[in-house]
Amino acid sequence: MNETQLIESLKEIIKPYVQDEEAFVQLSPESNFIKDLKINSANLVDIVLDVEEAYQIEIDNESMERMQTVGAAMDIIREKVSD
Amino acid sequence: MIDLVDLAQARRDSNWQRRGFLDKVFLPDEQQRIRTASDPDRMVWTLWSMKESVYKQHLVAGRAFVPLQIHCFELDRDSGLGRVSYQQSCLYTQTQHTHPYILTLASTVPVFDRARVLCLAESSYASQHGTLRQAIRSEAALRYGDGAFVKDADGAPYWQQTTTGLNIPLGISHHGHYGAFVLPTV
Repeated sequence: MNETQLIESLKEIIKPYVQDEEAFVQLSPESNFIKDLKINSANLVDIVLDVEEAYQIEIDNESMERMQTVGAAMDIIREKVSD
Repeated sequence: MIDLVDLAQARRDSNWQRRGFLDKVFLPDEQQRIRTASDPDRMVWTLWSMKESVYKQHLVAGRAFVPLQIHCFELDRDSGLGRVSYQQSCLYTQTQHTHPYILTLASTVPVFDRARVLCLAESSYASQHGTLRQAIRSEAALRYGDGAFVKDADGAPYWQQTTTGLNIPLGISHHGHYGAFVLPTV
């Protein structure tokens, strides 16, 4: 799975929870889920669970703690998928 | 300092019964409280708001999402008084319950200031926010005298007193159709 495919599939997962349309349109690896995309923290749990289901991986607490930006989520997915 | 949960809004936004959700957020003893509560939904949001208060006190560096590191280790259902810890820090909490919302106040000592709650009319988030901000400005001016509403680099709100230049930390929470604020006694 290349970078573009990964970010596109991640965007689909994130989309229902984003409260800032403009930030979503400008989404990049640097986008912070809470600060930039204005996703509420309870929905952050949903995103973690959605990612686990979509990629058939398990995201442990230490990884969840690191998952603050789109880029971090992409790194974690790549890590866990190759496990 | 303060966290408000509009229960109808929370139910619209989140499905905590979803598989795996509770395990990512709540420790075993907290999940036990949820299981045995007469109103599990309300207990979930009570514990959630207690954890949220740790973030509002700026106790978690970089605001990392670490709900399992925050422990609601005491909660008395009748009084609404509780205690929550994170690493070496410990906060006292007080949760007030009404039908539509839950309001949790947090403090480093077991003394709590009084909060004002506003029911914000059906309208955009932006205009509700404006109404809340206006109410805060009026009350703060009355209580502290002339000043300005300011935010620091972390987005934490203060009333900057004109006469002294002092920054008085304010507690604000806005969720769904309700807003609440606390003006600490100085």
